[in-house]
Amino acid sequence: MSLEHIRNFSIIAHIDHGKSTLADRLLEFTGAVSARERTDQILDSMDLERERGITIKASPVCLRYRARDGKEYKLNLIDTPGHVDFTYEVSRSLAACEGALLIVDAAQGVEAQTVANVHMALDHNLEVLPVINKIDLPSADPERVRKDIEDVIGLDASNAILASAKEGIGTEEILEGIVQRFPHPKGSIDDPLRALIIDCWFDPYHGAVVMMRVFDGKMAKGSRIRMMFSGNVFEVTRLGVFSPGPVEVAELGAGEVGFLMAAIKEVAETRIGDTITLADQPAGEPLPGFKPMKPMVFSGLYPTDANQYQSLREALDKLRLNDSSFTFEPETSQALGFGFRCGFLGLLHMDIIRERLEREFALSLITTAATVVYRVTKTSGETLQIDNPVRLPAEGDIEQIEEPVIQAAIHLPQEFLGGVLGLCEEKRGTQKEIRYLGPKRVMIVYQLPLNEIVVDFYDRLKSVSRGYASMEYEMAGYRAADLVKLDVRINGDVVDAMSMIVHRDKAYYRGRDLVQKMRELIPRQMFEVVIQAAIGSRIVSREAVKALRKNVTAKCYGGDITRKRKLLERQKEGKKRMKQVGKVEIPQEAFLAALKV
Amino acid sequence: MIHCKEPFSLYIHIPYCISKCPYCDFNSHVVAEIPERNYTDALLRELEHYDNSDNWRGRTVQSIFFGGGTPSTFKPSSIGNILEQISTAFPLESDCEITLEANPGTVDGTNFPGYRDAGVNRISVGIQSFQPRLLKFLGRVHTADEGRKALDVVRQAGFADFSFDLIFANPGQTLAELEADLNVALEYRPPHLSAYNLTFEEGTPFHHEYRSGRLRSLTEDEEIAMAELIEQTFFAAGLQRYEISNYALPGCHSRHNMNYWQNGDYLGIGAGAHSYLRAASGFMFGTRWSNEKSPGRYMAAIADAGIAVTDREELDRIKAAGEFLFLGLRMTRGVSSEAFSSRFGKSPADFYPKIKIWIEADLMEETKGFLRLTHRGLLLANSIFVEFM
Repeated sequence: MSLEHIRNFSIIAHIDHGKSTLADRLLEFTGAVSARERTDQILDSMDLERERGITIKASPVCLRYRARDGKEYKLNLIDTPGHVDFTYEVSRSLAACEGALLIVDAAQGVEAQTVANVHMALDHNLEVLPVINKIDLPSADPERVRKDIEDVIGLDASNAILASAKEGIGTEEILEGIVQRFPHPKGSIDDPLRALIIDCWFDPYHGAVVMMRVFDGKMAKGSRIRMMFSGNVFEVTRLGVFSPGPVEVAELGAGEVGFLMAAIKEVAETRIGDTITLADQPAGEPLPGFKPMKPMVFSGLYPTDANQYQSLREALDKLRLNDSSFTFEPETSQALGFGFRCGFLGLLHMDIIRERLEREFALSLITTAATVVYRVTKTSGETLQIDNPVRLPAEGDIEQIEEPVIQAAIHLPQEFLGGVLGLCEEKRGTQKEIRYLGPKRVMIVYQLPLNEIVVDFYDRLKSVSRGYASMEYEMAGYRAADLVKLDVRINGDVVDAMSMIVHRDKAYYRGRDLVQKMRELIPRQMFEVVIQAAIGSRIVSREAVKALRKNVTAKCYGGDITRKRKLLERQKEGKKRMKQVGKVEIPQEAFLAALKV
Repeated sequence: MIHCKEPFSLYIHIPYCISKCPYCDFNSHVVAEIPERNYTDALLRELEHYDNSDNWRGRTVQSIFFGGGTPSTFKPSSIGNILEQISTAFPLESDCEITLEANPGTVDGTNFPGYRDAGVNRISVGIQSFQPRLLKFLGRVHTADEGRKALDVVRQAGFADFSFDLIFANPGQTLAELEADLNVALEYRPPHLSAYNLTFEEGTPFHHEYRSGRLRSLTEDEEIAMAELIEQTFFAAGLQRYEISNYALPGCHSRHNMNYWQNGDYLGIGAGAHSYLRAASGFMFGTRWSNEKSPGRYMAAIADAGIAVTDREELDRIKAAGEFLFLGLRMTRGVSSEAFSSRFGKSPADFYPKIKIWIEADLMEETKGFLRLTHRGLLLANSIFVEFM
């Protein structure tokens, strides 16, 4: 098929604005899926994605559409994840497209999350076609939304398509818009092969499945390919497209989107954003934009029940097969025993991994406080990378501690400027730029310490801007800061798993909040439980959980001993979600509190 | 099969009540007309079955307990028939303790000499309180006067051995009200008393009220103060606390209930009755089973098959060891470490290492080969028992 008959596009939308429903309509209309066989929202495949309403993994689909001009087109829909933790994956998906549909809810107007992605699409020179969806709603106000798109995003919306994915209104107009308004891919089938890896996942039967967009040249079954960044060489065993089920093809050429399998054992052997070329006839330059993804946030994962250690290791191995941006290595904690230090892209990524471990592998886990990687210079001149607060050298041996900083660009409506600036200052940010982008829109650029971001910055940003602020960020090196280790002591003993590195000015408040939260979460026990927050030997906060004084069943006869025993067994079962630290039993939630204060 | 020839205890369940108390979660039923005759026949038939069982035949009975429900809803003649059947089936120890539970609301003065003549030698009366306000709150059918009268009748009928129950820590109850109850109780010079802290048992109307916030329990401190007042007052009257909720003059403890806590065998007859047999076979450390709970279905099953067992559970080593301790440690004298070791192959502290921590924390102590809960430990018994599971 010639390049003129291919369109590669993605859909940008806020949660609940109808992206998945619209995708379903496009699939139905083009006959890729009949209405009868569809399950709701085909593209979001993981349970977690459905529950959280976010798409984590892009799942491209190839649609065949005969347009009004009588010609048949191949439309490749490349879905994108929708969270700041996955910004890089979004950028790679967008880089594979020439156009993007911008879906905006006709009743709610433009929401924050979409703004950043539209800007990213425009940065990648994508043609953006606005679609005003849900026009069937009684509260729909397409004209206001049209103006909103122009004011808030700065995009011409005069020819926005009016649609209702739910009612099937506007589906054909959208397909025509894709054909007429989006440019066709460029590139030459005769040049050396260059294909961009958009995504990669693990299939238990076939090994890694690599999703890619071919820019130049072509590949066929049997081609020997090389990953230009990692240098790994493979032989293509299968090649195909999803429509939406997998369909094998003999070759994929410039402009096309599809998958390959090549007996790749681990997803980690392929990198999203890497360029695939032919081993024997390599391209001179890889495609631009590749960044190796590095975990930014670290925390320890420990089984509540020590017997689950081996199961946890196996589960981590399995998840890693599918997610190369997440890392783990064994570590031990005095308080928690054997576990793993894991690295994540961000807190959401961490939450997702933890939930999958608990749900899909039936594990009960304790997560230690999240931390970033600090650079510590000792008085001896030695430099250390610290990804676990426990390993921070003694205060006297430290010359200086540097923390990673990010440069964040935040887009927001002007009315929220005060709140957002306040938040950035509170989070120890340094302002770099304030720019007015239109009558109502502002972009601010701040350098912020990453460890302030990982706690709750994103949630707070959403809350101070009622969801309208959007953010993208990139790493901006290291900066020296006055940081200290905050310890939690329970009945005098330091619980190593709860230690955290914080700015000295904030240590007192963090300590106080944490200790108060823990007092609420630790149930009364047979002994008094004293919880303290300390910097070195200095106690900054103290709370106590009073000893339980009475817990006894008055009556125990009539012979029904089984029932009494089962009652005790049930209570024992409930205690399994607690971790014994010294004499004290600490529930999982109390460990999680250290993540949230 | 190992034949254990030790004596055992026999429990007879009479499931009928005149009304259902809102705190009670026992297997009791209120019916228009109590089928006394048919139910008695079913009990006799079930006894016959066990008379033919290898596990029980020929063994001596050390105690018999008519519990309920309200056994005093049955006529002395019915109780007599049952006791007669028992003594034909099994040899009775010469000092066999034969207890019958009575409700003051069912005592008309004429029954008690009859129970005595039938062979009953101990009466346990469900007094609960002598305060009209609390009796009403507890949904009892009897008045304070009827309670007192019932105790008079029991004593007049010649029962030297008797006991009665009190319930304390009722919502709103004051220490003064409790003290008044204790003083009246001691006027009767009972050789045995039970004092139960009110609990909101799942499935009862009280539990429902409690969960919905309409009933509030006393505070921990108030409950502890009451428990202490009881223990001190009874101790001054010579009644020693021998179990979490039970007090007796020396030598007057309930043999029947002691048997439960000492892990002895017992056979339960009647609707919903429970039985226990130690080390019956192979690797197992005991068997527990229970009968059909509904009186109607119980009678039908007996008529049909002679037995009415619905649930049976074999105890492995872990369960049996846990039970041994959580039952035995209810008694103030505790458990014999040697008895535990000889049954389970390890001392209690080796089996449950946390015992050492509790001893250090003054929740437990071990003297003269007996492991027991201290005064503080008894208040936290459940927190400790959980760790035996």
